Amino acid sequence: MNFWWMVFLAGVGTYLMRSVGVWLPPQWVPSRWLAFLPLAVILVMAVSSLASFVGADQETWGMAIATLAVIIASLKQLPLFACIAIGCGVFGAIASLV
Amino acid sequence: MGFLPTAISFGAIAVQAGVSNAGAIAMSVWVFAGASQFAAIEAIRQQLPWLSIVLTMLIINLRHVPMSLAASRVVYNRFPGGQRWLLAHGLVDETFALELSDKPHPFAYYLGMHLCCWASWVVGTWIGCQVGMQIPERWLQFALPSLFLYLLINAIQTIQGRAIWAVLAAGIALTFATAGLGSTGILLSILGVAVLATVLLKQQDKSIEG
Repeated sequence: MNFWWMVFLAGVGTYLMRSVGVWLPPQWVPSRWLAFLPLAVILVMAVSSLASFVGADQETWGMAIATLAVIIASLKQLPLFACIAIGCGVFGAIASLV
Repeated sequence: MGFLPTAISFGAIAVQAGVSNAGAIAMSVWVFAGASQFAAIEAIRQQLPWLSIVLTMLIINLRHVPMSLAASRVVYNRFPGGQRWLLAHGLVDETFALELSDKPHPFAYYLGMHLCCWASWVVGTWIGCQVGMQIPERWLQFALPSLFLYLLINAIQTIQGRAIWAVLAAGIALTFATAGLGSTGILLSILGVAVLATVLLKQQDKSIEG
């Protein structure tokens, strides 16, 4: 499977999910299970992406402090872009200190 | 306009991960789902199998199912089938939140909102592709973890009760424990966390009801 097939299949699948309210009776969907699946995906992706920074001291410290900064920014209800900019800025600054 | 900066980040990260400009833009045009697109780029960077990438994207986008069911029942139920199919492509977190918290509007209003958001996402991706290689990689490396942390904090805030902390701790432990299994480990962790969350938070509901 190449990149274009991946995009095509992901797009078709996503569209089918977005249009499920049009073509599927709501009582057929196990909503409780689905309600927690995105949380599971986000949690696992967050942990695994952070784990990839554990290694060199500078990167590990950068990851830890940037994580804290993003968490605080998110709790302060800053918009998504601001949180990403803060995370990138803090990590980039600390990792560049080498 | 809120879409533009995130889309620029996506385009920049995509080209830095080796995805072509056309590939990144096609993904934004056709998939139009930020979190799953970022996850796909991370998976491409980690050289995971294509099937795993597709499954990861689809699992992340599963949240669109309850969103679609809710939007169809509350907002789109006044429109004929063709218009509902058209609106489906633009059903993203932001449009969903706006539409369900606002008074009813005509079809053209919803279509215009969806088109503006979609166009911002595509144009932002294109801009990101153009400037992506000029930004040092180190300064973009934390974009994906930041996105997932932001989504995680938002998700946690919507769930009440202490059981969520048990789910978080178990999720972190499970992810580290299965890290050696690659994409299979990620999938197992996701399923494990989802099962645990369903069971634990259900138990909490029962205790509240009881």
